Amino acid sequence: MDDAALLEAVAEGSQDAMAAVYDRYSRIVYCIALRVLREPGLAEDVMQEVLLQVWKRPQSFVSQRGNLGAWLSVVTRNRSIDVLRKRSPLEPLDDMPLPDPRDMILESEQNWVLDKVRGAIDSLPEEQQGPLELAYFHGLSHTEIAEKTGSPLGTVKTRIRAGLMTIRKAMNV
Amino acid sequence: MNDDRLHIADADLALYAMGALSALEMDSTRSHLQVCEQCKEELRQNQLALAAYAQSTAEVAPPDGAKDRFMANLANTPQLQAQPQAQSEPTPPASSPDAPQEHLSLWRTFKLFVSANFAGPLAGALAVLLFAVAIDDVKFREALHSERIQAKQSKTDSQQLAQLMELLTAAHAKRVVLHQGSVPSPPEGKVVYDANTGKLLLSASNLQPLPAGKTYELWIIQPAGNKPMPAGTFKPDATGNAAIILAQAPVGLKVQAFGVTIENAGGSNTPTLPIILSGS
Repeated sequence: MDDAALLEAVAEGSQDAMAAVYDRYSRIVYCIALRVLREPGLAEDVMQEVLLQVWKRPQSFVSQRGNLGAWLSVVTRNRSIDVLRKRSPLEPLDDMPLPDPRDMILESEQNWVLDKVRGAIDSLPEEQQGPLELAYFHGLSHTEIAEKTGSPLGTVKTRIRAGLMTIRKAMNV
Repeated sequence: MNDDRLHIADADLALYAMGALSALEMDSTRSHLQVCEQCKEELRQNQLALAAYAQSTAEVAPPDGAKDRFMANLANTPQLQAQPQAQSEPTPPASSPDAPQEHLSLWRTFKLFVSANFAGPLAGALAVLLFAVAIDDVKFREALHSERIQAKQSKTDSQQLAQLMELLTAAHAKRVVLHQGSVPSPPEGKVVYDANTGKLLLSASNLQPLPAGKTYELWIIQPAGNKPMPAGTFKPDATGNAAIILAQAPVGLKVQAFGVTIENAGGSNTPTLPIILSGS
């Protein structure tokens, strides 16, 4: 059953369908939360919260026809950063814009594209990988990264942008 | 927006997509994105790359028992209808500044659905039904969008109030009372109170200095049968000026008058006569 059919069933109140969503996405959601929070308990809390949101508001997803996994990944990262920085859950997601699910990689292409992306990330020089990781998975601002790495602010920005461009090229977007 | 100098730098758009800019930069970038298609497209591509970056993380199995805990939570969590609820809920998808485009996008989907896949009347009816579902989602998101605008407005109001408070209470700010001729004016004060929002401002001038251990206190005088309500203590500066702002004064009060008295430091629960200033 594809995501759209699963979500339709979830919208009809099927706990079995939601269990299937859990089976499909809990690993990626959990590992992103863990990568940001580095504490299994907190990571599980975020995973539960994000996946319960799908259960509570399946209508929000049903008509999207996008890649639920990709969207959940971004939401999980953003929510985890909120927890990491102890920000109020009332405001922050709007500060970190979400991609439109319909733009994301199709499920059928996902493994192929993600393999390319992983290869591209591995190929990044450390001076690009580091700032990108600090910004995305540690939730540091560019100024904080500059202070932490001792690099000029402009250099930090350039390196993050260069790293992201490499990923974009790998995705051929 | 054809002039490159007017666009957000690519590196800043990358940081914006990660929420890694300062609050001020986030605000200014968000404003620019509302009017610049070129930057919006650049942001979109960054967002896609970041989504893939997130997904590239090596998968790890959740802790033992996590699924049981999830299913137990699920059983105790009601599903919500497509109506906006409390703002404590996490943001639903596609909350980006692209909301106005939703109608076009869904309409395009609807047209494609009808023209490419279905021809008969039953299929048409199905397509209409699907479109109705999509429209429900648009309404849902529009309601949330509206809530966000209100929340942002409230935030802006609070920021403006904070700035006003900062100005009115700044020790270094120059305060001048203008009056006709050279005769010093008697003490006077002005109060602005909005019963709908509970915001109150007092600005007073030409106040006499107070002895040690004393303070001025503002009172809200309500119609007969209601006790005067204390609304804050204040002391004038060396030139006799004072200002207080209450961002969370009681709402909906029927105010008959305002008064200012001199009380012991720390304020009082009942006004002590005489009333130094009053007005209705």
